[in-house]
Amino acid sequence: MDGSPISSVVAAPNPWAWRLAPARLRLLLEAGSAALGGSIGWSALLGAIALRILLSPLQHTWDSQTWWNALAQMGADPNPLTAIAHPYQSMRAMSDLAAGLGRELYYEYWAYPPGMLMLWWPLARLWTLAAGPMIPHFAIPDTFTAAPFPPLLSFLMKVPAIAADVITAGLLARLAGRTTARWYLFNPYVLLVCLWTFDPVMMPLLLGGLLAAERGRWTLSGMLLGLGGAVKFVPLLFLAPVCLWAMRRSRTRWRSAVFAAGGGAVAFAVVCLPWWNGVQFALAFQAGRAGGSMSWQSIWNALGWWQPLADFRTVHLSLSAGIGDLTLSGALLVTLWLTWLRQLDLWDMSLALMLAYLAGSKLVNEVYPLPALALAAICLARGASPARQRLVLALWVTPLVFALINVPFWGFVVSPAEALGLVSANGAWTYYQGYAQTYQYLSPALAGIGVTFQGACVYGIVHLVRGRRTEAGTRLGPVLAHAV
Amino acid sequence: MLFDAWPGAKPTQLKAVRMVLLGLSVALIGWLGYAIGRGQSLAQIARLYRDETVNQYTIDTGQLVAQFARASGDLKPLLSTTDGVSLVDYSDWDYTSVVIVDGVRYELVRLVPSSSVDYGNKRIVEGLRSTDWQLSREITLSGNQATIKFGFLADKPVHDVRLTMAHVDWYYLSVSPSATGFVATVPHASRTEVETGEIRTPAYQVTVTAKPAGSPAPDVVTIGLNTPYGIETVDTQFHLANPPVGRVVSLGEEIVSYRKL
Repeated sequence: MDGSPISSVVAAPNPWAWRLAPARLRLLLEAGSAALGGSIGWSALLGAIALRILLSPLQHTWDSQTWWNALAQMGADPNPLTAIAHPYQSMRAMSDLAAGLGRELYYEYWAYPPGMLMLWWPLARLWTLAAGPMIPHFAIPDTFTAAPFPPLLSFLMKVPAIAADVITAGLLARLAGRTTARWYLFNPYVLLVCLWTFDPVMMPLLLGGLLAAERGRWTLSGMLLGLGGAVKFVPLLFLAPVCLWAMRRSRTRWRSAVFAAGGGAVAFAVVCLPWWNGVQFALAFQAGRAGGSMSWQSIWNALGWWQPLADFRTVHLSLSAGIGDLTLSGALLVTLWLTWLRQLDLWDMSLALMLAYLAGSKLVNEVYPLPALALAAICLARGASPARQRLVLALWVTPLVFALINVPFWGFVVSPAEALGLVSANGAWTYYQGYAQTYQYLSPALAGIGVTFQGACVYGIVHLVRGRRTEAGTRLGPVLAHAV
Repeated sequence: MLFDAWPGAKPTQLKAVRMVLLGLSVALIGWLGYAIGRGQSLAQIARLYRDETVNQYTIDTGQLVAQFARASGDLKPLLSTTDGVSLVDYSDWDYTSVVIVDGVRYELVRLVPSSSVDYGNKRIVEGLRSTDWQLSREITLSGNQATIKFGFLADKPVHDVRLTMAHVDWYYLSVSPSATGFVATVPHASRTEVETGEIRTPAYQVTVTAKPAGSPAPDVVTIGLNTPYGIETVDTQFHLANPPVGRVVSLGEEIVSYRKL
């Protein structure tokens, strides 16, 4: 201990661990421990990391193919600029093939911004050089498939997500307290998302962006959200509440809002512009794909169960995207309007907007509610109420249950089982055919869970809008009267 | 009063807040108008008319033209030069264009077609569907070269697939088959001009290179219908064993290019 302010905040420093390290490194490590382990607790932190490493061989069925093919294609190319373009080009070619075969208008492959590809390219390259070329395999849409991921590669590709989960927990510890951070680290749904996809990587950038906005660091806030948007598009949504918050709370409101929006746009553009054609195609895919899963459009799937409406598949495919555009834009606009009118604070406004996104979107996959869960946990810690507790519960229990039925739960072991030679691809496919026979009877149950989730989102928005405001404010009637 | 309870709020801040509220309200009203209009335009939302009235796709590199008929048996595609000389017509009408799956013979023209076009990438994809499997044909143009990829998609286990693809022209003046394809010559002439003997001079040389994905058939290239005026059909054959289920597997590809004589 050198008696510096930073080292003095460390709860339980290990006196011998950093003895040989240079003083500057020691300061950095101690600051890190204060930010993460100091506030969460090292045992909890190490336990959470160990749990994630243990779960890392598990993979989602179809998405494992996406990760595998992206790594395979990038690993074969020593030039990162062209390497990162390959998944986008393949998605376009496979979409042409899927459409030509009359299966789907788009092929679901790399439909995300390039941020994660940039993180993965060095790993893909190293793995290819060390273990030989990976062969990409593209299953046709609506086919059961899982890529045989070697457990080590599966772990390595999830290192960014695991690290991001730890940083997110550190931010939650600061924003909502140690208990919330620990709860987040060991929440089964958060663990599921971490083993499934790379959504956790955007979380520190999202929360960091909102935290920066709360502290009046508008450009930094925009840039963090823009970088988050370069990993997955969702953090870009939060530029709206940040700009509105800047308008309300900053002395130089227009300037601050422009700086936030500009910072976001610049950060997003810097990452995405080299592969803009691909990003555009990914956006077209997101706009054009049919809805379902946990969104209100899950009722389309349930309709098929009732014989008179069994032929609704065509109508679903035709109308889903068009209606989804309207419901999403409408839900976001109405929620922004209401949150502004009711003077919600930044966190409530952000949560309401995220819930509006989940309520209005035509497609809500099981991993999408992760940002809403973190934001709801922060809002709960800052202003506890039974309604908020119910919301937090709904935001992780319903997607978890939905995923366990929909993926289904045993699907997560197919990839490692294939890699270890315990099951063949054909064997897994045959097993799935049996499951698919029962799946048709599960559609109404899944639709029910989807509708429940949607109800929770709407309930959350209503609760937020009707509830606490930044300051004691006015009732809706006089406000409307005055506005008119 | 609106926002009066906001401690420390200055008149200029209140003005900004109201402006944002006004802006959001205008956006909301605009959205409502848009939504009503969009909702009324059911045909547009449904997009049921997509490609319904389009019978043919044409892509053009400036050196090579591909015409693809979506519903008929020929022009699958027809590759021609920019001055209108037919080089190769991948014809499903031709009786030699067949696929044999586990010993059962299917004429390509009797399979159920589907197709898509990507004008930006000069790519056309066709699917030919049977009950339990589907053939794919992907046509991509680049310069004076066309790449035709044949794929097979099994929906349930299949053991043996043999595809014979006919390459048709009114009359090839000469054909030189080899182990990897064939070279043929075509005249710049109408059918009548060839049949009357008015024009017998080759104008272009077409090269078709076949690359089977699996083990090559004993005769990759065979000469089909031969008439006194010239050869009408050249066939290529591809073979595939035990394709995996649920994945488009390559049967092989052909590269077509030409040069002026």
